[in-house]
Amino acid sequence: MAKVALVVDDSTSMRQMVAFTLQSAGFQVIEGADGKDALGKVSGKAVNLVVTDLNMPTMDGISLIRELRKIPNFKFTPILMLTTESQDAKKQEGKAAGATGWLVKPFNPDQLLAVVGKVVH
Amino acid sequence: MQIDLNRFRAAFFEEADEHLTNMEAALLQLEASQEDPEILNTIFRAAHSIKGASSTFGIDQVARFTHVLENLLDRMRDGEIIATTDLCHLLLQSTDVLSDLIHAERQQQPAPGSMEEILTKLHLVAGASTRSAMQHSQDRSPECQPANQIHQFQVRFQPSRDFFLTGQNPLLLINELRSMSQAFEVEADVSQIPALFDLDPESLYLAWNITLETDRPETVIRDVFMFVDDGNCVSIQRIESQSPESAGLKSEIVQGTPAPMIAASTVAENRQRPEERRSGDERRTSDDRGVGRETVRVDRERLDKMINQIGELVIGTSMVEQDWSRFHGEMESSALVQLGKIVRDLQEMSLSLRMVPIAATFQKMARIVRDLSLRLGKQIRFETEGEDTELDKTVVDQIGDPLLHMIRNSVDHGIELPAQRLAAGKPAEGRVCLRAYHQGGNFIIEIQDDGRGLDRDRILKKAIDRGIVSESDNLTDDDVYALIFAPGFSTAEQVTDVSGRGVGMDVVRRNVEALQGSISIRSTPGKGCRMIVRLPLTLAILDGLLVRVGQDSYVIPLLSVVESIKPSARDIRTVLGRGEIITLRGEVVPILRVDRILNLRSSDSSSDENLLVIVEDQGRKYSLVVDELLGQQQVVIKNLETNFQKVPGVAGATILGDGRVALILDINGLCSLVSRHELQACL
Repeated sequence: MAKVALVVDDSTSMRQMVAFTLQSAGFQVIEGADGKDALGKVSGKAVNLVVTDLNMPTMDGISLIRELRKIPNFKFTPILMLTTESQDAKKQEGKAAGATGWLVKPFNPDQLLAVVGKVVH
Repeated sequence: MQIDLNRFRAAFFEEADEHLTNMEAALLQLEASQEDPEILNTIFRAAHSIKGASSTFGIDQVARFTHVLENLLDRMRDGEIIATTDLCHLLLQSTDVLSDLIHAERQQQPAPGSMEEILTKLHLVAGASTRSAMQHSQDRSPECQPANQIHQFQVRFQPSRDFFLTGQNPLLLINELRSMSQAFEVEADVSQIPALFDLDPESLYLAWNITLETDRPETVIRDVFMFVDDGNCVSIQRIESQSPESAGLKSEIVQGTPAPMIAASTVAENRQRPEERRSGDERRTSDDRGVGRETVRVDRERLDKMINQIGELVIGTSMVEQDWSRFHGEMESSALVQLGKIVRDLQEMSLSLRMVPIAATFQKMARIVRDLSLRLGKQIRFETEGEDTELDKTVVDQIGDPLLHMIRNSVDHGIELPAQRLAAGKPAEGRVCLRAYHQGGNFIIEIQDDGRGLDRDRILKKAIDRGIVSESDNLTDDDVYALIFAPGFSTAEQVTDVSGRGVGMDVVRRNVEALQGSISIRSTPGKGCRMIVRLPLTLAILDGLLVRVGQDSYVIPLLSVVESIKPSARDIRTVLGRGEIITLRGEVVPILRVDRILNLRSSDSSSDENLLVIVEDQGRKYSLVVDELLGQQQVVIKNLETNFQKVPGVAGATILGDGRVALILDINGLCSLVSRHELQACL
């Protein structure tokens, strides 16, 4: 069965890029436009990987990570956050919220897959 | 993996436009209401998003610009820099530059000249600290060791108990180390596993001692553990002297005690940043639009194709219905009725797919009014109503320029200077209102101002000077007001760089008419002016009056139809050698014989029984002679120009329920087909 990834970003182009890359690597992708949207879409589902942007309207990435970690299904799920070089503090905040790792923008598809390879079998 | 990033560029440009619109709206709010942290967050987020995506897709100029902008905004969020009027102005200019820059990138043109200037200003305000930050991400893996030289490392990996709860998997990390090693040995340290009774299955009690030989530098090994923070759960030791004995990898493992630490693997940079205060659990946001609504971006061409096919389906269904009634007479087929209903619902739904709110266009106008009133020293309150009213995307895209001209005109010519207003007993602050609403299947946009109104005498004088009308013409107020749409007409005593040289209103009318729309003006001297733009809701279908001329059916756009009459033959008079006219309630209306203009062979319209459809074009009435009124019908417009040459007088075609093709008449084209000379004689 295909692995499922949740990709959350309010930027359509970034989301498409991440989704497309993961699909090319064999993932089935669920897309979310922000934290709240994403939470609504994954309730009751088993997800093997979460890739989320941090700066989003309605519910930001850190809050999303916190919320996801409260859901039994997401207790052990690898969660990657997309950050920028200016967001070192955010990185720490994300880790504290339960993020597994991060990816610094800008990145290319290969870099994305390399980081994904670190956290998904 | 080869993935062409260019495929995401279109989506990027589209969302960048949206971000810019939001940013501009928020900046205008900021300027009005000062420092609301949520407004600043909205602006920051827009710049941040554009930066992130543009840098990823290699749109470097945009990335460079937004990087500086973002830094400035970040410092504003932190309260280090205050949003003064000047700064708001600079930020608004930045959105302009960014918009131009994105447009240039889209067209693959060089960056606008103003970019460097604004960039310098942003640098000045944000401080020099922003310059070097871009390099930061690039120098993440310094090569501190020459490659190709094999070294032996000893790694002690002792993750925390809650390691699994961060979504990590130690096996993946160990395998990654293995994949970069020439020789590899791992041993699990199981000494910490408690008795079964005390064991928490979600906790990790293991540690690993790994000895490996690799030609990769130490930083690469450290990178494997980049997500394993806390510094003290990973230690890496390079075994300097590679003695012959150790070549075979005989690792010494000290059970239970961690190997000596060589370097901490994480950057202990725990600066307490003011971000803490702005990242609440659930952020309240001023940008609530679209929340909880999911959208899919679809290529416009594909959408149009689908709408077109559904149009065909509607026609196909009518054909089946007609066939049925031919064979079965009055007997109804409930299945057909059901099918017809579904198909028509489907068509309605498909047309609604093209509908978007006019809000973004209105938003742009707010900015224009702000900039203009500043420049002209006028005080203007800009109001909008009905921003959420929906309209066909094509129409929305094309109505922007005409609206812009009309708004400029209101601000420049309509609203008086504060002193003049006070002298006229009006409040110093003028008011320009932009309103949108639906009315009887049309989309109406009104631009209303409380300025000085149109000056009938001055317009008339100018028009006479220009030879557009003659002094003997007896013109109604509406006729006079309509003159401002005449080519090359300008009444401002001084041609300003704001409203230009009077080319605007002429273009406005043509643009609106190209969208099958019309403009009218109501004006009260001293009280203000109201321009009303009437547009069809969509360009895909048309409300038409179906008429018969000779053997064929034609569609007259209902928007142009005023009335239809059946005059007696003596009401029609012929102006010798020039044409026919009819006097309608005192108004002289030229008669156009459609059959003659279109060179149709057989028509009975030359008989005494005349049926006239009175139509209006550019404020002037004409009457078309037809043989029969077949009814009012909504038709799907088919473009003829894809396959045929443009035919003057014909706007397109449609397929009727019985499968026959009917041409849609282009009233404006039809009127201009009749020689100007001939018409002049009639008027």
